[in-house]
Amino acid sequence: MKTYDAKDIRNVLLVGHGGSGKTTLLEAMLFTAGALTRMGTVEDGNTVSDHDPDEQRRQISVSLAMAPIEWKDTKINVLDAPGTADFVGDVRSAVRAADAVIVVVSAVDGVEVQTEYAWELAVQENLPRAIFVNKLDRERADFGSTLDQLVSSFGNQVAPFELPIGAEHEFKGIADLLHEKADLYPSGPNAEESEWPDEIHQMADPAREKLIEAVAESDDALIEKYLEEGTLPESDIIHGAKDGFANARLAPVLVGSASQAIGIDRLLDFIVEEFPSPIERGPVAVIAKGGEEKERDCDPAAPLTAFVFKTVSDPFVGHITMFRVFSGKVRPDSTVHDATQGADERIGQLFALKGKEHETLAEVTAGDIGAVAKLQHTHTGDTFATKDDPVQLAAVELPEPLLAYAIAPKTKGEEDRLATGLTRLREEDPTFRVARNDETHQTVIYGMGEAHLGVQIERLKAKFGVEVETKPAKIAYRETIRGKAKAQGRHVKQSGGHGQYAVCEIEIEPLPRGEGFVYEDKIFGGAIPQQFIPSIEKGIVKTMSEGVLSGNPMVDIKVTLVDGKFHSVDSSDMAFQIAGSLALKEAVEQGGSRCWSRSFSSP
Amino acid sequence: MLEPVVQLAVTVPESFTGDIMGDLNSKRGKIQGMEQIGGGKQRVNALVPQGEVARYVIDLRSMTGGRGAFSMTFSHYEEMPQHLAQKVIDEYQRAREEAHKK
Repeated sequence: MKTYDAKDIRNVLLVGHGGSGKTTLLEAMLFTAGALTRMGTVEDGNTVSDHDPDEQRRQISVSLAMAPIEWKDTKINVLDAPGTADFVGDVRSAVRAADAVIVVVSAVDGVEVQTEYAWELAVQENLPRAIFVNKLDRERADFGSTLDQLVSSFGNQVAPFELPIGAEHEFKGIADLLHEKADLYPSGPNAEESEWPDEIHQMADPAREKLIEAVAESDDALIEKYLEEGTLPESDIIHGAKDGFANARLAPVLVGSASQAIGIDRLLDFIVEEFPSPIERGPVAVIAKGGEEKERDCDPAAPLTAFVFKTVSDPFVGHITMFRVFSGKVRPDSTVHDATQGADERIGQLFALKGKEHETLAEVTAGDIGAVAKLQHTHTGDTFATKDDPVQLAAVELPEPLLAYAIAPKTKGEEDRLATGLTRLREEDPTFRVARNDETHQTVIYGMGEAHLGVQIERLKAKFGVEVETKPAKIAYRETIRGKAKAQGRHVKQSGGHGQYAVCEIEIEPLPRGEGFVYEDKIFGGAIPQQFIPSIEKGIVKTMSEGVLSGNPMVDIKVTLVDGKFHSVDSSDMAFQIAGSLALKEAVEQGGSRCWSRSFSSP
Repeated sequence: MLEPVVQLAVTVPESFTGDIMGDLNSKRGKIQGMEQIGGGKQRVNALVPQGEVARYVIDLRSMTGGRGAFSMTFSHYEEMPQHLAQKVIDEYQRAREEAHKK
């Protein structure tokens, strides 16, 4: 693929609720642009975007996918984000790589939860957002009600630029409100220009009024003119609409059907003409090594700044790292500096990802998106820069994990392979975390929900060959005592050979929450030698850490050593440790918490 | 026996507040308060035993159709009800016996 200048690049992220048709939209864009001879479908599992077996089986996207589209001398890098809440990590990172978002909404289902979430995310990042109302050819598709929902959810900045001509299976074209013309699709994805049909005026005239109003509201100078004259001249409407969109104050609503490839050529035109190029997005803020904030312009001659927004492990080529260049350029067979890890990375061949296919790139310059395989140190979220100026982009704010499972390999002896797989998955996906809980002796994985963890477990099997069992993560309970008790610990074995002799008597009592453990020696007159007093404590502490009743550590108790006996030859450090341990168990059983003793002594 | 208690902050559209509070009560939660946070949403703050909300992401999504969000942080340890403590102990003893048999 040839190298494009930043002014001829558009980086677009598709977001929206699961099932709104983002993956099909990307497919339709590729088809319309002539990059595919035939459109795949999510149901058949043969789309460019859903190339992972997990996605084909589930019929939902579980991972960010992308494809470059060449349209009218412009390269449109389309990122297809998963719509399920479990995979928000990918969306959060991808927002950084994009210069504008298209919020895809199904005309059948209207505004849904993830539509709102995606919108809020774009607002937070101040990204221009367009809305694509999809599935207008479907039964029960209702453009009017979808538009009402959009306006009530996102306010007056929602501005219809287009209206559908015909409804449900008679949906056949688009009325352009900005230019007052119609585009019909009698066959294939290419529009035939036409006049507004008579019946559309009834709907289109008030919609155009609404559009003019929205354009006027997005700009102070225009609103004055509008209030004075009651309308705006054609040129002001078109310019105002463009500026309002670029400044994220106006959200154009476009319509179509991805599965029928209706309105897709218009959408591509709109992206080329109206979406901001990386240059128009302006410079990116970076943090220099000393913490100083500065900016980097979208200039291929500037020092390198690039953001790693996604890493995937591919069973055939290993790691694939996807990155967006903000300034400078990345060349094949060169070295870049991963400023986040503080390590140099060797760059081999550069390519553009089109689903799972690779298209070789001669270089990836400022404003563009590229991919590289087999990096050693780089994780998702890292910044590439130069060694002499290792700037970093602000970290992506990631949500806290919401669900935990304990996992173990099904087959003993695969622990190492499991550990390797988990490390890899964690490097790819910052919302996935792994921890070893020393207290419960479990390996615990944390993620954003059942589907997220389910996908990771399937990946462990498919990519690393480890089958795992899952259990709920154990809760870290604590044992303690409720009342005072006194008990003797007696460890005496003197039947031939080297004998063992230790006896101690302790009192236990509860301490207030959080006080931990207190050990006091109140032995009178040297009943046992001084050297064995810490031995008893050691035995008690060890038993407390293992727990007496439930395998959970014991806390918040005070132990007072009150008496003991020893033997001049057979007593030892170990014997007194055992005696201390026995004394504690006995005391807990006896009375420290009477109500537990029943179960403790039951078989 | 002590159990970990988490500080839970649940954000939901107002229409779900009643359901959320009822559910937290049934999970032995102590509601500390509610606040309006704008956009028709409310935040419910509660202290809840961790064991009751280990799968809260699943419960909350099904109660609210995905419209709820929450965060939890460890707060403190607290004495747990006797019958539940007994259950934890029984399970441990049973698991230990099974391990012995093997």
